[in-house]
Amino acid sequence: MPPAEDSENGVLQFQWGKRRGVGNANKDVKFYDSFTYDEESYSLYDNVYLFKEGDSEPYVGKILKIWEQPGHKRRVKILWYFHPNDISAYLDGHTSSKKELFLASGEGVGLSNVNPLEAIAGKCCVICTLRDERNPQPSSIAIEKADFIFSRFFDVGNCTVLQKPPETIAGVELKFLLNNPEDTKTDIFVKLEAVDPGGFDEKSVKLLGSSTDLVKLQPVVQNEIDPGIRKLTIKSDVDYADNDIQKKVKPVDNLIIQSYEDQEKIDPHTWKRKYVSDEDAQDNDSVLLPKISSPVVELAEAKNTTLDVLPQKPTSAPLHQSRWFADMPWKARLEKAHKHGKLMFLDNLDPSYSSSEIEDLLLEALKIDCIVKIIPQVAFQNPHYGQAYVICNTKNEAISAVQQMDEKCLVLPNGRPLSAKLGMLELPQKVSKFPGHLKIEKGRLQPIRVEHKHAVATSHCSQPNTIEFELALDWLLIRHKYQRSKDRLYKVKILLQLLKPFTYICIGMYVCVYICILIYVYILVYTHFFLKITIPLCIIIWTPTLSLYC
Amino acid sequence: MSNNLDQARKEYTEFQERVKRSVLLDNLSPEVTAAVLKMALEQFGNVVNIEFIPNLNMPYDIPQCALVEMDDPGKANKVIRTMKDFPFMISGMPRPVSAHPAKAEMFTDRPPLPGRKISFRWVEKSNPDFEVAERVKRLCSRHVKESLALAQLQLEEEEKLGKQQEDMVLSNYKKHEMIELLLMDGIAAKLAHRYGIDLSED
Repeated sequence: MPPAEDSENGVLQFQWGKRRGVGNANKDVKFYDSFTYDEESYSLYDNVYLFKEGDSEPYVGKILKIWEQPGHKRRVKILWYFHPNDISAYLDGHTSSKKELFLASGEGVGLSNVNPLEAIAGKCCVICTLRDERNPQPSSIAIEKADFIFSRFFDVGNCTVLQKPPETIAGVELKFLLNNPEDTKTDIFVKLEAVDPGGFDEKSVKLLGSSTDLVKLQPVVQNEIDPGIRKLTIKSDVDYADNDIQKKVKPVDNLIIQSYEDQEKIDPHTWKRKYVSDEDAQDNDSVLLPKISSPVVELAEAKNTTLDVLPQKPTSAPLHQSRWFADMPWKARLEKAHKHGKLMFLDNLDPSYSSSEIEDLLLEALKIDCIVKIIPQVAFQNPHYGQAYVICNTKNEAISAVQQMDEKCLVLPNGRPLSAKLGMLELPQKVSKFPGHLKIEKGRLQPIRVEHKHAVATSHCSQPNTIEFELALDWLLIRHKYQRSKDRLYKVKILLQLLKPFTYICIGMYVCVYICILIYVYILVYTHFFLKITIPLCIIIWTPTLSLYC
Repeated sequence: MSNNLDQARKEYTEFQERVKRSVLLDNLSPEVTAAVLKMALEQFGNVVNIEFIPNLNMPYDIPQCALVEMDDPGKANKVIRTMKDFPFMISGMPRPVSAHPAKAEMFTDRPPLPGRKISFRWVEKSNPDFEVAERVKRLCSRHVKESLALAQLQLEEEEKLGKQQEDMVLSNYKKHEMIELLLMDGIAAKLAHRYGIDLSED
């Protein structure tokens, strides 16, 4: 089924920025410094999200080049960031926080790619926490607000994590790839400012000293170094070799506050949903997403499965998911979740429940935060049962939820017990068969007329004087027949459910009346034959009859 | 809080308006796309939105269906009436498209009913209600199977009808073609001449 595409409904606004030059070999290729796409301006070395259909996690990359090819093909060269999951096999015990990324370096597959510009899904805030004089230091608030941080580099050539930053990556000097010095003016980053050593009080220096000890023990350390009210939290696992830099770091309060506000301004959901489908990608000949050498990918996949075990979740990911991937076709999402074992199927819901209500219900009952997709009630569904798919965050969560619902029943207010099972229902492969539309091969006697050739898909009401009309009547007949049988099937069910208690009541009343009559007869007999002392006889006669009746 | 509730109510009434404006089209060929549908329905009124409903729970090849939102409820009604009164074909003959008024349950993105909170309770194994709940669950799965069986039957019968009609149309077509061929070849004229029949006479 073709997914409804965004691009069909609204054309995204686009504008080139400053021209940088033209290509050496081909004068038709124009390079640019920046562009505005969907009301967001991008320039060189900006960090962006790229989204590929079928992947829940967005790719993050840095724009290295922007150009336009002949035929209005817009291209960007992207230097990739790696998620720790992608390269977990090569981390060698280096721990990393969920928020950390690794910038690709060295030479080899997976360093950078050329992508259509339209693949960019939005800006991403990646902050470099590298301790280097070329890198303007970010403030703690900026770090907290950032989507990702990075301080280390991953060499794609020999698959190692570099501790020392390389001088150039993909022919670009390192200083361009770190935090943008211009941003310091726009106060996202803290000014480095020499502090009078006297003003630095002893206590905090001690604190610092003790925390440097901690550095060796813990990969992630939080240092409190500001003597005032403000806390400067630095998260990093890079060796804190020189404390001097840290001592010099003094956040300027008003700057931070300002930057905080700035972040607030940036943050509200300005992301526009965009979705580049695979078809698009194939048209644009050169779409390649990061591919590291195959063992890495395999290992990364293997890691993915084990990762599910860990009940961890990046803090920013669900936010993006809900904002970004709503446009990804549901079927693909469900299939992907199914592949990872995160899919659950719920049956016997009330048909009137909405997805968000079920999400709330599951959150309360099972303590799981999940995404629910209601199955729409169309032609073939039983209208009395609501069904829904649930995408859990991890495989374990899904399994335990189903187990819980098996062991004890989750009963909804109108007495419906929820039934759950793992995985997706069996679905047919691509639909191709559709009986009832006849095509006649045009014989040699009937040359195809020109207007016939140009005719687009047609629609019409058929007239009663054609064969088509009669054939259509057959279809209508069959449809009505099945509509009736469906109605009856579903109606009988309601009646049966209603009937059950009713029949019990009927039988109960019937028995009561019968017993009353028997007692009455018994009393009659008792009074008549009392004098003749025939009670034993009566009992002998009546007991078998009584038991017979009962 | 009350503000929230008001907003939810407003959203829900808006949604109900949307439902009234919408039509469910069923029995669409898989070749039908949004553009085709839009063109076909433009004659009734403005089409606001078209949403194809993917098959998520039927194990069979079922015809495509789509929810179409028109710009006012009257036009939606007109679509339904026309398709009820006449067999309406979209990109293919002779299987007509069917139209039904849309219902809230057909929209997956419907807003929650304002002010409703789903309560629930856990029934443990020791509870006598557990047995009842289990039985209801079984009943539910049986009903689902029953409706699946009916759907299968329907699809089979449709296929049979399709095949039968195809055979009939093809044989008719062949017959006509043969007659035409005979007339054009002049064989018919020769025969008529031999038997002394005037062909031009009707």
